[in-house]
Amino acid sequence: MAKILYVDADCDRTREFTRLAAKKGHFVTVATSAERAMLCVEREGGFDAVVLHLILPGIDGAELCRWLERWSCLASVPRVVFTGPETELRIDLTHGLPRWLPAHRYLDSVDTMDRIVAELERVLGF
Amino acid sequence: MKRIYVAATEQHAGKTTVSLGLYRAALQKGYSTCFIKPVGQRYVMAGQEQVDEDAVLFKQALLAEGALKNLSPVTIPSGFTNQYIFNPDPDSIYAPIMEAIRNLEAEHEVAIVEGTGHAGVGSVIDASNAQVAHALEASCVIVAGGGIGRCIDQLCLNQALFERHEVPVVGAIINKVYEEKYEKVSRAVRQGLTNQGMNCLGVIPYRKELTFPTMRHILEEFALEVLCGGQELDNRIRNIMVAAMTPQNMIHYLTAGSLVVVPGDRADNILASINANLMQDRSSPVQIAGLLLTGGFVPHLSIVNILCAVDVPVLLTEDDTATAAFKVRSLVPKITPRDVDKIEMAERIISSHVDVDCIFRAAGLQ
Repeated sequence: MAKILYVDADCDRTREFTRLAAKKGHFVTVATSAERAMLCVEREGGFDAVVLHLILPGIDGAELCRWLERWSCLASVPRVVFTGPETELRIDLTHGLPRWLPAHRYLDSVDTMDRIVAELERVLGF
Repeated sequence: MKRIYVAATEQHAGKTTVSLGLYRAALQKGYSTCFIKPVGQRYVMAGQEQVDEDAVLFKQALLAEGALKNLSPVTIPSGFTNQYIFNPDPDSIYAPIMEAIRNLEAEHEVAIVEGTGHAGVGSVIDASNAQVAHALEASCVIVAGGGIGRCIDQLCLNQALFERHEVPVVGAIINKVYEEKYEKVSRAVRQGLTNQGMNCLGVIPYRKELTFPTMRHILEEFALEVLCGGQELDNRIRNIMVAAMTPQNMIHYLTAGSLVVVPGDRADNILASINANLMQDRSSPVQIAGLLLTGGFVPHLSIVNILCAVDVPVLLTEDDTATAAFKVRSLVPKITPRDVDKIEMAERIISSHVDVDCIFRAAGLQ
């Protein structure tokens, strides 16, 4: 079992991820923005992984990853970032992530949350 | 093989520009010509070997003949000088130089030999420009930066060292003379050099275009990161603009070829610069060279998405805006193999402002 911080502004996707992750025995804390995620980290800490959508209202996912790496107690905790099929990113992140996006995995055009859960478990070594 | 040694009174005086011009002029006159930089200080790796970047320029852009190691037999790595002082070994420097010149000599009538720094550079390792020119039995041309008094003073000082090592000095080339002062400086410097017994071989006007770096120059020089627009890195930077003011004020300072140095979190100025760039299609001439985003800030991904849709290179630096702008302004770009326009310009200004026939005659060429 792992304690996961999931950051996403999309309710349907969040519900689906929480359901699938709980089925696998993981405990999920949800934040709907980067700012709320930062508060969760400050208050709770102790997460085993962070899963986040790159496009968030306000601070974006890349900035949140940098904050997690540089300023939080979760610097070494795996970060899985993704974009949904509705998000068109013009920058190519599929051939390696740039320095300014310090994440461990990137999944693009994610249409089912199974993919995210499977990748998360791979990263966590389950 | 006749050897023409291109020396200078200081770094960045224009040795490479003169060497390029003389090399091409010699080829045009039908001489089989080679290039050699006997002692290099700024080197790049070519496979396992260190080679001077000017040798790479001649090899790649002018298709100079000979193996790269013959064009650049000795490079001075960091720490070498200190080692040499306690264990002097002139042979370790001169043997590869002489071997390279022997290899080139077999197939060429003339060698353009480019020095490094002023006449005395290299003295600490027994390989000053004057000593190397003597070893190569070369005739020497000294390039000086524009001016009158200081320029002639420096030329006399440099000439003295060459003469001490019995190197014949053909004359001086005065480079980078401002257009508005050209007539005055040209007349005075020619007379001044005559008074000192030195031949003035040419006075070259300052060409600002030769000093314009490309986005690739600053990317490589400062090991920056490309955010997007990597296919436009050959954009030339004509001026550097620090966008620290509000967009409505900043926009007035944007001109064609501007490099906009702006904090990465100033989305307002970033977008204003991009908008100005897009206006070019509506008969406005502004087309910026690129953006340098400072402070280690990366704009919001929705802004990055917009930047990716525009053909403008965007670079990232961890430096603050003032430091980044200072570094870029201080950059003196060397001519690289990609600078086709600069190479052509160098050839043109040498053939039109320097008495190359006099140099070739003095070197013993018919």
